[in-house]
Amino acid sequence: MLLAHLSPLAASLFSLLAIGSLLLAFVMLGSRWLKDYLLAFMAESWLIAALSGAVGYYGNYRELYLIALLTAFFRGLVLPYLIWRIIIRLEVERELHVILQPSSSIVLGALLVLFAFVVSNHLGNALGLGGTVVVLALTVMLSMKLIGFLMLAVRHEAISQVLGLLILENGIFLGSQILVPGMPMLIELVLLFDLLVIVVSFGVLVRYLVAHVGSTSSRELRRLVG
Amino acid sequence: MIETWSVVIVIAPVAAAAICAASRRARVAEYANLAASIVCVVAAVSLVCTVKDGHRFLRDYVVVDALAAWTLVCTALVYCLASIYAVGYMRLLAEERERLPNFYALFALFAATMICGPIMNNIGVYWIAIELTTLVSTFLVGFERGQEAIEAAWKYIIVVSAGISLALLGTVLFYWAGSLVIGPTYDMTWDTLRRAAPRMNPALTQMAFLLVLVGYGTKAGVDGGRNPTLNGGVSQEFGMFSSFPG
Repeated sequence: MLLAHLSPLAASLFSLLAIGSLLLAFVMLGSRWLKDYLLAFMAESWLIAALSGAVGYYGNYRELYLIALLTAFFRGLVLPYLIWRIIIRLEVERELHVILQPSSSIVLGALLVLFAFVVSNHLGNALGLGGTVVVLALTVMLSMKLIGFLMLAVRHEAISQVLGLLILENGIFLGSQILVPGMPMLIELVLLFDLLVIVVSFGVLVRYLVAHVGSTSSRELRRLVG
Repeated sequence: MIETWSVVIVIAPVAAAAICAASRRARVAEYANLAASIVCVVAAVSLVCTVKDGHRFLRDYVVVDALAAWTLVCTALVYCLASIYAVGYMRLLAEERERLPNFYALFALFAATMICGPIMNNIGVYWIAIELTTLVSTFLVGFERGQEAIEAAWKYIIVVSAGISLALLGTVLFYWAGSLVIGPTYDMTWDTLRRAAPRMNPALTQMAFLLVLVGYGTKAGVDGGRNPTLNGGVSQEFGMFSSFPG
């Protein structure tokens, strides 16, 4: 197994990239501006692409170079471009009504990271891998998942919700690069294209929201509330 | 024989969707969809009659066993009944008449994705098939384009996408648990996982299972009790789809 025989340099590099991605998720939590979300998501995708390349190099998985390139291109360029186009068309620049202030969201996010660490540490010890990069990878993966859910819960704007979902996906992708680098390439490629289809579908739905509901804030979506 | 029927049951709705999209005529679309649904029922019943043990093909990506065949019978029957009902129901929506071919194309594609799910042998591909059902059905939920329809579609895609991403996390953890036993690279088929299961780490496997249960459960409406309004909204918008198993 790759993770059991990592050189200290490789382990530090993986940790740095994973923690960098987690910090960028916090940048998204701490801002109200949609363009900040987008830039943070873009940077996060680039870090994950770098992580794929690093895992490919140190673990000798050649196919991960291709995955890294495709991740940088699709997640780091195409998806942000598609979302940027939606933002421009909507003429919405920021979250107008927040349920939770950005500062409170960050504190809550920190608590979620703590919870993710406790779970990951328990799992790491159960697997006999306590104290390795596995615990960190699991922590970041679960934290990004929880932060994504937090964003979905406390943000109203359609774009914030789409980006919240993309953080969920980014978290899983990041974790899978470190934990299961040998995952068949076909699956990873299909997941990548699947994400593209999801974002295009969201784009179409956002257009419908504007045309038929007149707003992209979920505050206005109150007809189907019991 | 099993391979032929399996191909037919997937190709029929895809072909119907292509005909609906190409013809642009409501009547042609209605009948193409109806014909495809009847072909699906015939194919599913034939599969149940012929299948014995699990039959694998297409490099083991497809498996047709008894459980899959019975699931296909249920799905094909609901598809067929919904197609018959749709003919009368959709004609009542006079203002949507020119968009009816789109509806039937999406409907047939939805059926195709629903049929693909149970016969996938690779768990990763299985997840993708389930994800595709979500994407196609979102546009069916929002088809009427009224304020409520779009609201239901938006809430549906957000809730289900979030839920199904939990299933993806669970799937990745299952793969990881398997890789600790089998080795870093393997095909994540049901058989491989079943063989590796006794030696997998219990803590990791339990967590993966719970995530998959909650994730696919969200999709299948297990949490419907917690979110009756949304389910009500979605079924209110499209009564016949609420009966689809998924």
